[in-house]
Amino acid sequence: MKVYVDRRCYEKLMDFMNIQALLDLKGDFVDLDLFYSDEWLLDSAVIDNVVERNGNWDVFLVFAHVTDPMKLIKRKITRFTSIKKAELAANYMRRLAAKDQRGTLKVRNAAFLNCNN
Amino acid sequence: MSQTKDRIIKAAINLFNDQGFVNVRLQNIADNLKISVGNLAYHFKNKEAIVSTAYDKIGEELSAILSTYRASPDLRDLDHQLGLYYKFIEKYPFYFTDTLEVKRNHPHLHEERKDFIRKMKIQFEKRLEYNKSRRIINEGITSGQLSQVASNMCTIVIFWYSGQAIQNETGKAANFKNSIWIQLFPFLTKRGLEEYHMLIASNDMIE
Repeated sequence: MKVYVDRRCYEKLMDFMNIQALLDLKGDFVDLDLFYSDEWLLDSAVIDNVVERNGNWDVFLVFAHVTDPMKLIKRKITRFTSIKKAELAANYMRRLAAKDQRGTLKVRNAAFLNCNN
Repeated sequence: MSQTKDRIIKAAINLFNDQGFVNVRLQNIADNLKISVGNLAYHFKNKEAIVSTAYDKIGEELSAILSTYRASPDLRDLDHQLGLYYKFIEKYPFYFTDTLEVKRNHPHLHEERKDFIRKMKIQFEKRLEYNKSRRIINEGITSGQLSQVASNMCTIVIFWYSGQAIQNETGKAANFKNSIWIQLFPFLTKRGLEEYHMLIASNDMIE
């Protein structure tokens, strides 16, 4: 499908590409602290996540910081051929990994600072 | 696209380049491929259909060139894109040499080409503005002057091959690029010239 844009729109697009702040920049080693300094994992909420992939169900655990949920790590734990087994295992894994097994450590939706517009 | 259709388009483009857009007939294309006109008509019902498909193919290549805008945040970006324009001109000279014929006979294709040229000009203009903000281009130059320089650069891209053909010369990529770079030299700052010599002139010497 061909999409035509008018002159003004194309000019704006090019202006947008000229903005320096949007350029890809080299990362910093500090960015990797997320993985090396892992004390923050102590206060993380653990969320289980079952995903169907290639006819199997993968069990993932997501560790998200309680107050800063953008700080998160997602890890694949295991896989099952049945969804029921996967969900059961995911539940046990989550309870095993979570600091508070009752699951009271939760990430609030508002902490993501989503823009609803 | 099927293999035969692809062969037909390639042969048609070669003939357009050699004999000019208007001089090529279905018979010529069929002769070139050593097939019958009937067979050719099975794949493309008329010349219009061939031209239209060829222009679609060319349009894809042009979009790929335009999408290289700001591939790197320095002058190499322009130099790289000029290199791609040169390759394009070499591959499809009829695209720029048969301008008036296309305008008269295929107005919708002419509109597409106008759209491409408009985008090319905007890109040149915006690239100059960007380099002005980087202080590679003199800050004293007005936006009207930048627009004129961009327009000159466009004109060179469009008519460079025709100019070479009139003088019976076969150009080289370096000549093509230089004729465009020379438009910018009067406006480059000291830093701009340094960047040019360091990133572009030195590479040309290696080539």
